[in-house]
Amino acid sequence: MNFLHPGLAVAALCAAALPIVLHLLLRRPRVTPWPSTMLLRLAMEKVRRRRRLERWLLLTLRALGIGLIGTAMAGPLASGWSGSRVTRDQWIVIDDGATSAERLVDGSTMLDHLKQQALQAIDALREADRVALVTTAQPATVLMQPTGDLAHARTMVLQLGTHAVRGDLRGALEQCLPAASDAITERRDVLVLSGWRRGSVDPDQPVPGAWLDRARNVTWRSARPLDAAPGNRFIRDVRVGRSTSEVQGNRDVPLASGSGAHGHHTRIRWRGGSQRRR
Amino acid sequence: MSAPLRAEAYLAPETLAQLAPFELRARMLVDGLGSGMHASPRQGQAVEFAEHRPYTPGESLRHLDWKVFGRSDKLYLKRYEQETNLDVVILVDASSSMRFGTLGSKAGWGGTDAGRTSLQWTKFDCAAAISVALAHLCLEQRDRVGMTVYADDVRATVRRSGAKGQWRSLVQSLATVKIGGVAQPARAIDQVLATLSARSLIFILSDFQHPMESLREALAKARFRGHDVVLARILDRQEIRFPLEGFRRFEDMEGQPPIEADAEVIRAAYLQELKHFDAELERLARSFNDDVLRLDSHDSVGPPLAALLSRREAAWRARRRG
Repeated sequence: MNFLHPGLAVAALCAAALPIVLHLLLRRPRVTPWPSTMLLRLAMEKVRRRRRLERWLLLTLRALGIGLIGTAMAGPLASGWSGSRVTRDQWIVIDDGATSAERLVDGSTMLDHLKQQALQAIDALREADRVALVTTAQPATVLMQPTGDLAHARTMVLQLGTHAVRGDLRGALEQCLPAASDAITERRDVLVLSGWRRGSVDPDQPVPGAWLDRARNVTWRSARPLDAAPGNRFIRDVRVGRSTSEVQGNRDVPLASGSGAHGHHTRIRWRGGSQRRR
Repeated sequence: MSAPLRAEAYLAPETLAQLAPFELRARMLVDGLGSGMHASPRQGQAVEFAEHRPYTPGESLRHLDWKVFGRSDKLYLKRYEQETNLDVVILVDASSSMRFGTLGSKAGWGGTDAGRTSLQWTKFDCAAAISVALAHLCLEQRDRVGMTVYADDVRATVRRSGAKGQWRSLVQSLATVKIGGVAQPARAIDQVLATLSARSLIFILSDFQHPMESLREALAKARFRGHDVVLARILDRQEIRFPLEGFRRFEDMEGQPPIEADAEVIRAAYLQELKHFDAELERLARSFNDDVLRLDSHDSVGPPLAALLSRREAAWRARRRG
């Protein structure tokens, strides 16, 4: 489970332990002389089991109450145990720049392939999920903010066409990442659909480590590479490493890594203007 | 050096005034040594006429009522009832639990070992007050009264007597006896029964904070020998109402392991057990045709004693009429 204020969640857990500590440590009996404990003993036998149950129940409820209040104040973002009700924002970044989109693959343009993949991604969404569309053709544009109107999103995708400008993948990510990372839905995914051509990425402009770091809770995915396009690279299950926050300036930013369709390992480095295969 | 007779303070004038209209009546016929106010099983030698009885041929003509024969031509014998005195034995529980008391003792009150050490009006003080009141009443009506103070064994005994100095002997004994130990009423009753030759009235003053079984056997023996028993249960108000609060460690005054409990939590169950125990004591007493007297040690002893005497006197009158 994620929290807007993880520190508060830890504090809530500590506070929940307070009743238990009070119960165990501060429970000092007052000594009372009594003529004969015979009747008290009989009374105790009657109430012991019920009382013990009640006492622990009360203690648990107190601890739970404090824990819940603290947890609520910490701002929970997801309930990891209720998968069926998970809501998510699906950001789809489509590279419609001329350098990538107009390439012909199996008789149709790369953009057509990318649109098909975008439609498949939209179809895979559930009722409560939202979708947002971003295009990379300069200037990168958010076509559609997160919406639950999936039919409208499908229409928008189908209406996409190639633009005679180069793609600005960096700009597109800059548009969607802050919004995606600030969303309060339980899952935030960014699907990058690109032909991964040299013109899609500006090699002189590294991805700022600061906003990569901010987008830690965002899952990045990329399109599967086409079999007919062996030059493609893809990103799958992208997780930003801890070190990214320290990567600044001219150093390479390890944007992503994953396994390719053919089982080979792929790492894409933005800085330096090349996509290397290892 | 003798101990001060401060226990005289137990016999308050108002108690005497409350008891004055009543007489302590035995339920059974009493075979006393002297003359008194209780019915005797011996008949024919006294001056108190009792009844007529049809004459049976062969009987002595000495008590034949000739006047009735002259009037009605029928033969009747005159019967006389002898009245005698009663032996009263007071058993006082002096176990540790009788040290308990929550009523602050006032100046001039009491003087027993329990009261002196705790500066409270204890259950033993209450028992002493009842004892001296009963003794006074008995001696006033020319009955013989004796006392046994017991705990795990007999602590003190005052032989039965109707002498003038008997009341002071009882008071002296109550003022000096040491209180402590675990009550063994059955043993004490057995020892007292062994000393009784005539039918007697036995008062047992205790909090009865012990299992009922041992008492049952002792009461059965007393009933078998024809004695009349009154069980006086003395409890402190705190025991009766249990007004305590909070988490407490109850230290048993008779040496049982302590109990830790929330007073509020066990209050209802405790009061229920007390009620149940009282009902059981009542049932036990009724099964032997004995009387039960319940006393709150914070209250004056006069009214409950007066109620007991009144009840017994009413029963006695009803028997006479019947």
